[in-house]
Amino acid sequence: MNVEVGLAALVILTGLLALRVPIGIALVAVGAGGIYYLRGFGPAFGMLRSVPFDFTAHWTLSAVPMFVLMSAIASHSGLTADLYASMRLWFGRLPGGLAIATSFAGAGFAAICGSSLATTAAMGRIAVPEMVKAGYDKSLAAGCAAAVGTVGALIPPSILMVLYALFAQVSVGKMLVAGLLPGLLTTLAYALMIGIRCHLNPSLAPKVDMSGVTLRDKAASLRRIWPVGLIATMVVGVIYGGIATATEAGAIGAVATALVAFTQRTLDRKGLMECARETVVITATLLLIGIGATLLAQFLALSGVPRFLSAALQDITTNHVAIILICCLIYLVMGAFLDTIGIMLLTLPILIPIFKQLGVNEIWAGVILVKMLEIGLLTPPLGMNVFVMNRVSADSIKLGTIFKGVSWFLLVEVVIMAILILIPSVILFLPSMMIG
Amino acid sequence: MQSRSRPMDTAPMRALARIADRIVAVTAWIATVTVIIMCLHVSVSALMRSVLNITLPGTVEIVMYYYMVLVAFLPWSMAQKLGEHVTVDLLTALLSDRVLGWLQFAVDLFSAAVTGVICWALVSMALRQSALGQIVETGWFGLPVWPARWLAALGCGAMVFVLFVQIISRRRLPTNSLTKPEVAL
Repeated sequence: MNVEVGLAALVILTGLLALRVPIGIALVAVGAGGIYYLRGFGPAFGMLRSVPFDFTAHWTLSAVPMFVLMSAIASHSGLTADLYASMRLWFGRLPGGLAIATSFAGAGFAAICGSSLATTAAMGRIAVPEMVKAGYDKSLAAGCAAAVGTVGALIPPSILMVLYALFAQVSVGKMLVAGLLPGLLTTLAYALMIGIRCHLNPSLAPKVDMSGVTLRDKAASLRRIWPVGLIATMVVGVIYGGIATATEAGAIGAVATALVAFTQRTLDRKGLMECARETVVITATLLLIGIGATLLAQFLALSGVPRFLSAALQDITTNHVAIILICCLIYLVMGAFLDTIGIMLLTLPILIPIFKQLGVNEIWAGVILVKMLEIGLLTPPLGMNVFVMNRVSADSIKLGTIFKGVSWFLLVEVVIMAILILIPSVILFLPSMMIG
Repeated sequence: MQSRSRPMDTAPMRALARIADRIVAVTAWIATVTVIIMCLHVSVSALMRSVLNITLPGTVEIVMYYYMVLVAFLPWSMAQKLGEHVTVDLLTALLSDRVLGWLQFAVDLFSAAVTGVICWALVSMALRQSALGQIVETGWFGLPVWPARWLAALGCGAMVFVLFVQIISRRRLPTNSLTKPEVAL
């Protein structure tokens, strides 16, 4: 009986979302309404009195505004330009060198930014016009910038990883570090694919004249980007070494990024306030969804839906690979009409209890789900990174052209996903070596 | 007919919109400054602990019970004003502008009802904790956290007020009001 109430509530939730009720409000309404239906007014009101405050007043969650602030400052201050210029000097000679440089610069930017959309926007503004000017195939240039954004949520700092860790009740440090190798693997695989494609079909990316570039020039270019490298290494290093918490790493990272931007005169007081304002609006809307997701999780636990679904899933399969593939399929479908954080917070109240019941490693599953969410940013109809790239190009590169370019990167993603699913140690090796 | 296609533009309506604007500006400013102070406070605390082996008393508790509460709840009204609360655009492309206008009106009413109940619950908890004088022990001192309960209620209440102004400003506006209210909110 309770299970039916729970399932009916999920249908109502879908209806409310379809009617364009804000996700956070819909989750609160269904969560609290469901508890009211099952247990009465007292328990439901009691939850509303405690959950919003208790969920928010949380140390782990405080990493979110710090990461968002760091990301906003990094995006605002245009640190990408120097990164790309340096990578261009180092990799420009290779087949498809400018696109390879875009991949590495994107990964470098992701290490201080953590936002897929911001990374794509930054690379789309800086690298794509130069690639197009050099005669690169437009679909390769724009597809590369759109795809490279997806490593943003894997390489720390990552907001998605923090939220997942909070709901799965796993170490946020381990969760963040777990995304590092998959992120680097993705970047290398992208570069490799670009190199091979351009070697086989040189018309995609005409050679750029780099004859005047000396080793001294390359070394000199590193002087401009060392702060970015230092900040990225520091953020990952202090979390990995157990020296600081994710919140502290994010805060120090944000201060360091701001200092670099102030020194390079790419950020002023007004810009900083703008970044902070953007940060609090993003954080507040995100936390409202988090509050709703917590209430929904409490209601679903009372209704027994997760137990019911996990039993139903066990009837189909107990194989962890099959279970994660089913989750990936669900995410792919949901990715057609929902944004990444929305999908994650809507599904975790159901998925986490199932993972726990079936003994699925939550860190492994978390990284794969985050990766899947990021792949959703490249697939139609709601490939947000593709739309961002299209907007950055002022529609000079059509959506169809970008989706065509992105399809090659999606092929690479299939291979990477297979590796991550079949060889879990790629994800779990670094967290297992962590101190603390 | 003209009055049906425009928001209510009366003196009381303009005054309400101005009040809502001011509330949004003040709450957003406080949250904005808070996130910068939080960043500096946490950085200094972490550096002092790592470099000088000195612990800054109460950092974790202040972050949890004050900074996070201010950053989480106060910008709700600004997000409402800017239409930044995350929604799903699933069916809306299939509907006419007129239907969308009414749908938005209904969604705002629903949001106001839900946020109103949250606000009521938060105020009720704030009253209770104030009466008890809720504090948390930091190891060095007892930090009063009951005022933070009121800050949460304040942020939620500000969103309810903004929704209220948006609803009455849209009352006679069936069309073309999907994302942003027409009053100077």
